[in-house]
Amino acid sequence: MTISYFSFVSIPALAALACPFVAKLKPRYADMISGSALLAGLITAVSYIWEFHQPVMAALPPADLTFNLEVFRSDIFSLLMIIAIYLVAAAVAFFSIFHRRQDSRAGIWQGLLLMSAAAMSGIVSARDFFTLYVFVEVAAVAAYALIAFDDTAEGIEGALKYFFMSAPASAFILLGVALLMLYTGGVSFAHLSRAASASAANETAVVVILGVMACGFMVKAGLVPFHGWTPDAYQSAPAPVSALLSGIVTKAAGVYALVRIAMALKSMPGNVAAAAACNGLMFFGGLSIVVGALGALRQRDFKRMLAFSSISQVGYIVLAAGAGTPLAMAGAIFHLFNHTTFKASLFLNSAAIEKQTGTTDMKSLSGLETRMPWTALTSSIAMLSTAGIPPLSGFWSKAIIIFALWKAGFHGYAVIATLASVLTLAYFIVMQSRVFFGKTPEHLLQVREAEFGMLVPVIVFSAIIVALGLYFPILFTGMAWPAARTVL
Amino acid sequence: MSLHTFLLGLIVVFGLGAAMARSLLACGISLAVASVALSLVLFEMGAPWAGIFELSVCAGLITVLFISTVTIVRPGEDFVKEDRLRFYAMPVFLALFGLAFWLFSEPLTTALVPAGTARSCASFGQVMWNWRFGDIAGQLCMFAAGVLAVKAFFRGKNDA
Amino acid sequence: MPDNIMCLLPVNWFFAALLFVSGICCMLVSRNMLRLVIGVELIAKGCLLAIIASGQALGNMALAQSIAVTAIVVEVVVVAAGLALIVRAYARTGTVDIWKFDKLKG
Repeated sequence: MTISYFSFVSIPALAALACPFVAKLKPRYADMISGSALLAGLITAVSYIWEFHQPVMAALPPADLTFNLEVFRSDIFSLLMIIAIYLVAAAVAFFSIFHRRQDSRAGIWQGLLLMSAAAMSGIVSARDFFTLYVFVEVAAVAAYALIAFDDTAEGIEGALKYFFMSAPASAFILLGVALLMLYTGGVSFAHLSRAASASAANETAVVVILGVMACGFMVKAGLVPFHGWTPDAYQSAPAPVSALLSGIVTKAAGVYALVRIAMALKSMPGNVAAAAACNGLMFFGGLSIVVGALGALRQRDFKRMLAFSSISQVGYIVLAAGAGTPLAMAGAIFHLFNHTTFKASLFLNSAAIEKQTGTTDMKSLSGLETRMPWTALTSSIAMLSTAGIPPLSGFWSKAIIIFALWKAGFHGYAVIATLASVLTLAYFIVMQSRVFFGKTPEHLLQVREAEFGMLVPVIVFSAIIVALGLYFPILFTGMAWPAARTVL
Repeated sequence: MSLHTFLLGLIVVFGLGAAMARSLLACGISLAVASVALSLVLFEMGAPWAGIFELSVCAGLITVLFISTVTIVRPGEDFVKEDRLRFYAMPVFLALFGLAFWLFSEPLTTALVPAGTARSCASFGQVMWNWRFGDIAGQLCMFAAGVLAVKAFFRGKNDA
Repeated sequence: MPDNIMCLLPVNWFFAALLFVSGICCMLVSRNMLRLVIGVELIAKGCLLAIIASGQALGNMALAQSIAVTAIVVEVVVVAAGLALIVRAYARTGTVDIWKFDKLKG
């Protein structure tokens, strides 16, 4: 049985179109539609794991021109991404019901959220680069609107920076697609892998094509040196939007494609130019780890610090993807999923803190543990996982990455990754103790815990982080390892 | 010099004019002329559908949108001081780049030998509807996202 | 006919690269946000020319045209969203100078 993943794209899109109209009757209806559509999608996606039948992603389009919906197919990597997408989107939709109680524009908000989820599902289900590009653009348009949604000057500035950096990046991707079409006669993944492994392949050409596309995707992923828009956009967007952006949009739009490109480069073993390109990917990944970790140290604003931390973690993923051994790929994919859970959880908590205390300035917050115990607990779990403390999930994914790097001979990168991890641990502990522990100052004595509705998503994320950490061996052999074995 | 090269040169000249023009209205009109030239090139290369779309959408729709935006932000334009020297440096830089590309792009053009096996007899409509249905779905999603985005940007009077 | 097209291939790519680079230059030297949008447009035109040039060299004009048409549609919606964002920025802050938008620092 082949599964058509078209429904993962079409259902949120239709719900998105319905939301503004339904909201005219009563804004709550839009929230209900959105929440139920995303939850249903999540449950469906998780259920697909059990009866998963691996369709062949690298199959050419059918020769006869019959109408078919087979343009969307997936392998287990895409299924994992879809689960992550729906998880974060459902959490943000649910969270925003309580966070934005008095919003009369809920219809458009939920509509944009659903559209974003639909676009990202399209990105990860596409089987050729051009469809991927189209859905990346759809996700970008939804993101511009969401970042600037609250009409603050900062939000508009963040959205502008994102727009003016992302538009040329899309052009680079399109140029790569044009070159791909010229060289291989088509734009699907299958065409690329066939051309790359052909005996008469011109290696420089394939690497140039992939390099041009990778430049575009690096901007979308927020990798150094193209990370200029990332801190500004994350800081200035409404907090649930930051959770969505950092949690899944940059991953689906940028990192997913970079991992696919790394898989393609690795399918050309012994090719000097491909090895050089992989080294390039690894270099930028390593640079991001360091710049992100150092940048986070200097921040006063909670959300901006989380933004730099995101840059650092995405660096880990790209570094491991560039290394290319199956173990490293598995680590990269696992870390991708893990980072989704902890970053989304941290950003949603920052939204709760912002709503209850009115500020995200870390210097003026302290002793919140007594006033907001659940928020403190879930934040601690997420931060410890980011820093890589056993037995949480983050420990396993980082350990795999570092171990894989060491085994593959990249000793220098492994050392850098370990040191950055220690640095992350240090400043997260400092930050945690500053914001949550210590004495509660006077002006924070009336702060109440966040509402139950806002806590549910972060509790779910924390439960996932803990469960993944404890049940890691099962999940590794069941999901991450087969995903890494996937060839383009 | 063939018609083809002349039209291509026209696009670049008017594109550069759009980048360098002093008033934004002239920019918009210059861009429109460049779009028309591009669509003529597309017709001449045997891509009539792309040419029609380019003509109606880029030369028409985008120009209208751009000129209306220019009209709205007209008062703010006076406060933007642009450094004209950098603008005049652009054609020079472009000429240098063109020269470098012409001289040094040999390895690239020989490496990117087109795969000659993809000659297909399918018509545009057949390819678009049957093979590239994902793109059509993407276009529909794009329209929906665009409508929602514009609605989000321009809030009504009774919205919060 | 094929030989003719082969000769034209570098010419097409030459002009596509020229358009692309001129768009990037335009974006780098401009302060007015609307001029930045012109730069984005020029880059997109360069890419469009590249797509059709590939299709012509390949002989598969149907595929190239499908991709080009979709790319045009995508580009117009992105530019429309960008222009709407600029109008909003102007309404909020009264300026269209990109250098003035530097409040977010750290």
